[in-house]
Amino acid sequence: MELEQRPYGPGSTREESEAIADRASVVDDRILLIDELPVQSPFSVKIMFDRFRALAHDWDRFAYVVDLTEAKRPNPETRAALKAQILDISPRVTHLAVAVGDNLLMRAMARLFAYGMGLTNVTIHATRAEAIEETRRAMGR
Amino acid sequence: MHLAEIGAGRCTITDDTVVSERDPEMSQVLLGLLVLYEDLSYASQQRADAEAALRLVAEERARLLEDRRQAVTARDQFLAVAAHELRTPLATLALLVDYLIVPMAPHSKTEPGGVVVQMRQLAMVKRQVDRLTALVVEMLDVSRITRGSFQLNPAPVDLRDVVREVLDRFDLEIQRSHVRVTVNAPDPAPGIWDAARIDQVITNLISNALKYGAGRPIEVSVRVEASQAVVVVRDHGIGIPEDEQSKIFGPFARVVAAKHHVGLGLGLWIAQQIVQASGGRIKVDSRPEQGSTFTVELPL
Repeated sequence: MELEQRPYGPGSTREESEAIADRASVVDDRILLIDELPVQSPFSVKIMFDRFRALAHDWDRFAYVVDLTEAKRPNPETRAALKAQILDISPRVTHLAVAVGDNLLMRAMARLFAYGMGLTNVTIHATRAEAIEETRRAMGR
Repeated sequence: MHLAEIGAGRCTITDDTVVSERDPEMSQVLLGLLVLYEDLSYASQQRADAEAALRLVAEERARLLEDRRQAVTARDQFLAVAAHELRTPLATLALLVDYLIVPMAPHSKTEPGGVVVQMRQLAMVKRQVDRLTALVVEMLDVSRITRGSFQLNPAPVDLRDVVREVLDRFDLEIQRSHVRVTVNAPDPAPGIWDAARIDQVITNLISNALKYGAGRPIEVSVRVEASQAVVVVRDHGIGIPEDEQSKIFGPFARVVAAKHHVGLGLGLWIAQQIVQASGGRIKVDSRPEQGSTFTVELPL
């Protein structure tokens, strides 16, 4: 289903929740993708990362791509939720590649986020394809 | 270069200023400041929310403590009243039994009027025993209600008959107190209720009307409305202050000081429990020095 450009909360329908969860997917063996929503919320962050964890359940180490091409800057509450989720999975993450397109604001935001959280294994790319390629390289392929 | 101003709930940096800044490093700095400002504002809001929640918890705690204090006070008052109420008939009984023992001596039986005196004293003994029994029954009811073992035995009954039976029992007391009691119950009011318990409710209301009615007329009516039977007991006595009206259906409630009127202060609470268990409701309309009107509505 087509998701709207608005924050989704606990009142979302099952179909909406499923569509949000589907934004987390496997690209390749031990490589995952999060296709970020245009408007994020603590609820959508939780749903996506729940699916993300389920997909990565059997992998002790993995890399992932976050596509922020369409995303708007998250609000403080959503940022807090994102930080908690990213910190939770970070011990198992080999590499994080962020695709920002020509979204200058999100490019700066991604940099700030990585720096603020002390993440060193992060690269920022113009396209999703480049980001995926970088994760493959990081995984030794 | 963008001149940023941050502080006191104001931040001049926006997403647009971050994007339009030509120097990438300065753009990053501006975004960092903006995010820092937002995070601090968010944290401040979170703290304010947490403080408000803490205040609510503190208020709730204070309320619970006050409720507990009132409950302890009510319990202590109840114990004092119960002890007093039980001691009074017991003291009278002890005295009467003493009197009765003396005429039983062989030389006393032949005294003129001895048997008459004895009969009068026995009647007084009976009254005190009845009073003690009523108190104990009331306390047992409270025990059953609070334990949740209070049960009704509904059966077909005419509410008008229940009211008449109650008034018949009060006949002597009504005559003695010279109170005019009028009954308006032109039609039958049949329903399925626990007759003994409804009797208890109406007995309480009539008893209160006589106690607090200041000797003025009392009106009792029974009528059937669309889906309910209604009993109204109205007196023109001392009435109940408005701020006390919500309390009178509480346990141990006593609007009038205990020294003026006997009882445990449980009657209306028990009455309300019975009426509610029967699917009905009981309410009061009262004004000080003008009297009280108690209305019992029971579903048909």
